[in-house]
Amino acid sequence: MSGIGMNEHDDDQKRIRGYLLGQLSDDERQVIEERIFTDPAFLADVQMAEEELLEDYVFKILPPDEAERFANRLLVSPDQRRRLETTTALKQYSEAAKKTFFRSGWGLAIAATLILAVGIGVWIRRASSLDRTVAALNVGGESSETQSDFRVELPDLRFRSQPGENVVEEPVTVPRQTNVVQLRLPVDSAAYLSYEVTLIREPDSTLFTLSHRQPVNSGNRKMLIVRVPADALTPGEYRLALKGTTADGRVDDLGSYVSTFEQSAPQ
Amino acid sequence: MHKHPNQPDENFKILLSWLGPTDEAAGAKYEHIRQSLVKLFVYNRCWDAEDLADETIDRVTKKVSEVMEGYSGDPALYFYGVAKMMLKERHRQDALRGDSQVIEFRVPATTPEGDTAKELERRLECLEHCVQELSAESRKLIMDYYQEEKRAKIDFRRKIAERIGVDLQALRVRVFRIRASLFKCMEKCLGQVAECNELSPKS
Repeated sequence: MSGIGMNEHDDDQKRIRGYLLGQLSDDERQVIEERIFTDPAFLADVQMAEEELLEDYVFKILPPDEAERFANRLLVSPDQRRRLETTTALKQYSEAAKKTFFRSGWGLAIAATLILAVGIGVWIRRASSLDRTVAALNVGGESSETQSDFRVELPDLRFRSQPGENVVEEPVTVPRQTNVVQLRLPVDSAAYLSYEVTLIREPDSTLFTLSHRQPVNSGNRKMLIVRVPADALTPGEYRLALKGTTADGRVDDLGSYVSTFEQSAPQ
Repeated sequence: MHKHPNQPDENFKILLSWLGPTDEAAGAKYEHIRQSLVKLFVYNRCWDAEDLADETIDRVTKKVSEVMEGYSGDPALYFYGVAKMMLKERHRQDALRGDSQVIEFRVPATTPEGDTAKELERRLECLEHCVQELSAESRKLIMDYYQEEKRAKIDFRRKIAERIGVDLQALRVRVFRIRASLFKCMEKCLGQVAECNELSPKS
């Protein structure tokens, strides 16, 4: 591609991205839309740019305002939401495969050969079913699909808490028909870029860790939402530990909640 | 070719003759127009983009004989004009209902209520199946492509492109195609799972 060709291509990419994020004037939109209808190669470029925006959204590369625009404009149809779920699952699957691969201590070449030969599916079959379910349950933020969750609103966390603090006094009674319990933690979104949440069944059985969590708007507050399959919360005491990552990569231990979960009595 | 079932055959034949000199050319043009319509509606925040695309084609097909006579230029732009009118209608209706700002809350649930965890489990099973269906080369490429975080991802992709001897644009295209085949496989797999569940006796 010539220098001029490359510049034109880059300009096209910028305009397409602007179009997809709703940042163009009416006239500019019209030009883009007419090209979509008359030029199959251009339509393919637009679809590719849409997929890449979806990826950037999943990888949290988009600046917050663009991420919001993307979610409001391009995650509207059921088809797009399915694609978001698939892309997120694919990312988690790839990352999990990589972690397993390096933890194993095998040499790179041997491991790469094994991955190709045996297939990454072997890992996923061995991985904890709960990890997989929780990872998948926590794709995206709040949606109509979470409306049937049993919601548990946790109080403000006293940061860097000492043992004995942040104890939820009343046991949480989960109704028997519940499929998913939604833990809602109020957070200060300005302080941290992302959060990590670990659920531990006391005294020391870690059920799962969710990384790179972003808070969502809930009324005038920001909430971290963690969705847990109800059948994983067998009656007992649990600790929910929270860490925050700042923009410069520092990880702060923010403390933890302690709560007892019960199941409602059969009717 | 996707043909809307409500189209009378005669009008549809005329439509195809307008779109291209041969069946093959007309079919390709039709598919491109339909895809463009779906995307236009999607990019204008319509959650029922497929239905609106079919309705646009219906409207044009019904009038195709008279339209063809007086129209010069690319037929695709005529479809675009009709689609824009439909978008205006949609926005007017939304404004009347006062819900244009809450379109995201009208998204129908993709899974039946109360079946979420199982559904997600199935999605991961299908993903596993579909990743295995890829060739070893494609599987390695897509898994590498999705592994790195944030800026590292971009540098890492440059390295992948160098490794397989293509530029970044060619890598984008290759990954786009692999991902498209993965999505297609996922749709098929999830559809089959749903069908099996409908057929299986309820316990």
